[in-house]
Amino acid sequence: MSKIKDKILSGSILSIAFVIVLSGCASKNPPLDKISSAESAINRASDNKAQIYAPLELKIAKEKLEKAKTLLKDKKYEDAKMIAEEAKVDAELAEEKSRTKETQKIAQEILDSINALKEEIERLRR
Amino acid sequence: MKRAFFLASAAAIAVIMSGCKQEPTPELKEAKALYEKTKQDVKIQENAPIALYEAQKTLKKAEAAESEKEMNHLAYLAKRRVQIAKEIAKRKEALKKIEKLKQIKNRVILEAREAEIERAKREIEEKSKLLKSTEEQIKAEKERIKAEQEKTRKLQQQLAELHAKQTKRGLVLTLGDVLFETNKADLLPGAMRSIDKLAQFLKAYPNRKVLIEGHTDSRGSKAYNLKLSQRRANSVKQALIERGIEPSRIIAKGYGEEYPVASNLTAAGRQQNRRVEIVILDEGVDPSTMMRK
Repeated sequence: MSKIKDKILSGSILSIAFVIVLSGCASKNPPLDKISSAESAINRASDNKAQIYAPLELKIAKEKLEKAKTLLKDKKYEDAKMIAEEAKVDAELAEEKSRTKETQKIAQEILDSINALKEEIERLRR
Repeated sequence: MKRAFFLASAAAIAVIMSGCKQEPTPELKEAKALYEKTKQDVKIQENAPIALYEAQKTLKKAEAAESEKEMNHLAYLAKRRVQIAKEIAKRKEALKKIEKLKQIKNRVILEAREAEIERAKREIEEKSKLLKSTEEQIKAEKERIKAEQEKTRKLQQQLAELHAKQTKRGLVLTLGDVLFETNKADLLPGAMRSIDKLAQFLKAYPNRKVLIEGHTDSRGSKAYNLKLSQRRANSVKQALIERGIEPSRIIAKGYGEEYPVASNLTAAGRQQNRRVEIVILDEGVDPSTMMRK
């Protein structure tokens, strides 16, 4: 009697544990928020001339966004979420890289103008 | 018995849970290594602490991931966040550089303006020097012209004092008989003033040549008179040579009694005929074309 009871109990505990563990591993809702934030990250990158300064990162981000959308249609929500997250971080890197290169370009332009001025000074003093 | 059952259940759950607990994948190791290496960079710590912190948080999540797939996914996000931190740090450095460069540029602009002013000053100085030297040249030239005019005026005055007359052949001045010793060719001291003035005039006009013509009255033999007049003309020529006049500029010739200027019948007339005439030819005129026959 007691053995049977034990078996039932342990079986139910195991089932509950499985459910808990599995629910921790899978999501049930479509990750629309992740997809839209990946989209806006891509737009920000494009606004910062990522096509010029970080074309590869931008392309990867765009491709991943498309993939995420496909997965969403197929109701593979967990995969869609992951890919959308990666697309977002790729786009963010593209944006940061572009802004950095633009800033470095401005620094170089100032340096060039300083050198031009110095040459002019040399010429004037000759 | 109850206790044994509890332990068994706990072990079962632990086994199930450990099925989700994932061993570190190469992707995670790579992301972690990148994070650790980047964290060492003081500049990145200073300039991108938040991005670095985000990377660290993601890395922790990745370490706790329950599947290989999730771990690799989170490791990817962590790696990207480290790269983002690096870019932010680079940009902040560039911004600092821009600030410094702007300050330098302002200084250099000032320096350039100063150099321009210096240059302009130098040009003005050079031009004013040039102007000054030109003015000095003009002044010197004016003085030279004035001196020349003064010299010419003086010489003309001296010539006037010699009582030179303008004739077709040129300026003619006459040295009278009283300036020579009687019946001799030697010039008396009284003649020297006239000879000096004549020499000065010839030096001032190096292109003018002179004819020196000796004349006598009709007393005495023609041969004697011719000889005396020649000697007197030679004396004048010699005196001019002694005063630095080129011999080639002077032709001296005696004409005896051939060309009287007054009557030989009176003493006064004869005295006028005993004379040496000096013809100062115009510039560039060949003396041989102006000689008496």
